[in-house]
Formats: sequence, structure tokens, C-alpha cells
Amino acid sequence: MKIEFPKDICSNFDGYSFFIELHERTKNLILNNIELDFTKTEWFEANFCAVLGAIINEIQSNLNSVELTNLKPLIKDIFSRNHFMASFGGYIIPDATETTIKYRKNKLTDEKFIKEFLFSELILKSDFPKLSLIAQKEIARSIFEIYSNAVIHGDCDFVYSCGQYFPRKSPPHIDFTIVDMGRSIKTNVNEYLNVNKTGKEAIEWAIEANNSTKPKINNIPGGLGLKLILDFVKLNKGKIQIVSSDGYWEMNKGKINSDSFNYFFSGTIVNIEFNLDDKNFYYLKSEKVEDIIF
Amino acid sequence: MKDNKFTIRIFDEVGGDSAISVDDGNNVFIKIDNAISQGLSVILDFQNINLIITAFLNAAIGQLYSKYTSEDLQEKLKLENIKPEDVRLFQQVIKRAKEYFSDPEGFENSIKD
Repeated sequence: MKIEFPKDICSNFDGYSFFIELHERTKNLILNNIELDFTKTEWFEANFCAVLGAIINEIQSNLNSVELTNLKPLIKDIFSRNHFMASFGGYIIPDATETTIKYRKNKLTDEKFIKEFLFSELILKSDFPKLSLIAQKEIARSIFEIYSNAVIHGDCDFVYSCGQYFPRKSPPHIDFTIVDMGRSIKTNVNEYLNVNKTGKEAIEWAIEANNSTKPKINNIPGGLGLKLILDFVKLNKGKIQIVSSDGYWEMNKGKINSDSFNYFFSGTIVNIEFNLDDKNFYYLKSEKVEDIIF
Repeated sequence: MKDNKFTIRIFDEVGGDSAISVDDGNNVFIKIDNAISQGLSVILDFQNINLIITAFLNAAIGQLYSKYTSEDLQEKLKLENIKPEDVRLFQQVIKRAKEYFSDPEGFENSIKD
């Protein structure tokens, strides 16, 4: 079976639609040879390697063989620099421009390893923009809140992630994408509420402040993490996109859009785009520990 | 036990500078709970902690409101060496935990409406 990739793969509704359709077309295949043909593809936003990697792993779990063919040199180069090719039989090459955040397939118990990895990939990279420590921390915290959501809600074996730094775009930004192939937000919300919301309605419910489907364990309150990320991304004039089941939701510079896909994605994709040209990054409101009242 | 005060160093509890795991948070909660149950005051020391997420704080601190009142915690629990940029995170976790435990069933029902 051969599947042709489109000319451009960008972090937008059409980009996600393509991958959801790819997942749909391949999810029931067993013992097949599948060729992912990049002949027409000229632009591939590398953070999408997280989505592609998650889908390829699903395909391979049904004993199918997957081959990436006809990659343009520029795309092959970036897939080699961000270690994506290494997972599928290719080579690793040094990332001289330091614009990649490596593709990772992490077990959910690897939290501390993930943290070390992210700091070395993101925070401590010499050629990354000179963000304030506060900005670095907020970015790292946002990413970990998303990981934590996948751990608590996804009920899956692995979390896939990949990022890309776009220094020449206006404004310069980092996109970081996290994918789990576990329970979708739609499944969790509909089971929790005993209702029948669409994918986008379920995402809308989940992002409301204070809403959480977290299993109640040991009286630990849930929620809040996603709200804090949304607050931060809004302040940063960045973007967050959430894809789960047939639902699409995005907040771009504070403006919210939602939509529905024609097919269903068995899991959740979260992409965060951090705007690196943001004066707010350097602002620190001075608060003291004495301001914390139990 | 000096002055009936018991210090829990988060750096030691989580094995590094990042408080990111629910399990670690739960272990800290158990330690705080044990100490307060024994009549001790607890100092939670965040020295050298550079990254904290809500999942950890919900487990370590939010959970305390299932057993203790604000007044109990104000008297028995002291936080030290929290970085200024993290203060708001603590405030939000505490606010949410108070709302949650003031009426857990109402809270659950209200979000299901």
C-alpha cells in the first residue's frame, strides 16, 4: 500500500486532517507493507514527527512494515538531525544549527529523564534565544503539564514528542508537539459525564477552568494544569492546538477556533507554539512566599 | 526534634531539582500528614527546586485539604525558599483545593452540569 504525502505539512487544521486520515487508512491493516511516499512533500514542520512517529508505531504494532520513501534532501536532513530517522532505520547527523528538539518516544514513567532531556534540548541550548530564566521555566512547566496530562488521562504506554525552533519566522517561535495514543478526551469526558459530546465539545469542556476527568485517587484534586498553560500561551500571544478523536480546538493569539474532522484519532495531540518575541517573557511580578495563604 | 519542627526537603524527596511527579507529591503528602498527626509543625523546604508543576502540588499540598482546615495548615505548615515566580502556582493550587474540598460533591456536580 502506498500513501502519498501532500506538498506542505504545517501545524494547522489541514495538517492534522492529513494525519488523522493516515491513521484511519492504516489502523486496521495487518501484515502489510506500507510506503509513505514523500515525493510531493517540500515542507514538513518537524514538530509533526511526533504525530508521524506515533502513527507509524501503531501501524507497526499490527506487524506491518513501514517505509519512508522519496524524501527531499532538506526533509531527510532535518529528520536525521532531530533523530526521527534513527527510529526508522536511518542515520543521526549532528544538529549544527541547533534548531531541533529531538523526536522522543518516552515511557510514561520517564518523567525525570524527560526533564533532563528537555532542559538539554531546549533550555540550555547555546543558540536558542536568550530567554529570561522565567520564560524558560514557564515553557518547561507548560510542556510538563501536558506530559502530566497524558500520564494521568491517556492510559497509554508511550508519549511521543518533537519540537522545532523557527528562528527566521516572524515572530520567531518554537513549536512543541506531544502525542499519546491512549484514551481520547472525548472518551474520557463522555464516560465521566455520561453524555455524548462531539470531539470538539469534549475538548471545550476539558479546557474550561476547573474541569477534570482525572480519576479520583487519594483525594488529589485534578485540573488546573491546562488552564495555566492556556493563560500563559494567551499572555505570550502564542498558539495551542488540541486534537482528540474527531475534535479540533485552537487558541491563536487569544482567539479561539474549533472544528471537527471527518475521521477519528485514537488519542490526543497537543501542539504548543511559544512566541519568542514577547516582552512579557521578561516581566516578573514580584510575589513573596508570605503571600501564600493556606 | 527541634522545637517540634519537622523539615521536609523537597530536593531530597524528589531526587533532584524538579517536582514533577504525582508519586513524589503523594509521598510528600504522606510525610506531612504523618508529622502533623504526631503534633509536629512541618517546614516544606523548596531550596534548589527549579521546576514545579501542578500535578505535584495537587498531590503534595492540595490533598492536605481533605484532612486539614486552612487554620490547621496555617498553624502547622510553613513553606520556605519558594521562588517568586512560583508563588502564584502555589496560590492557585491552594485556591482550587479549598474550593474542591469545601464541597467535593457539589464541585463534582457543578462541573457535570
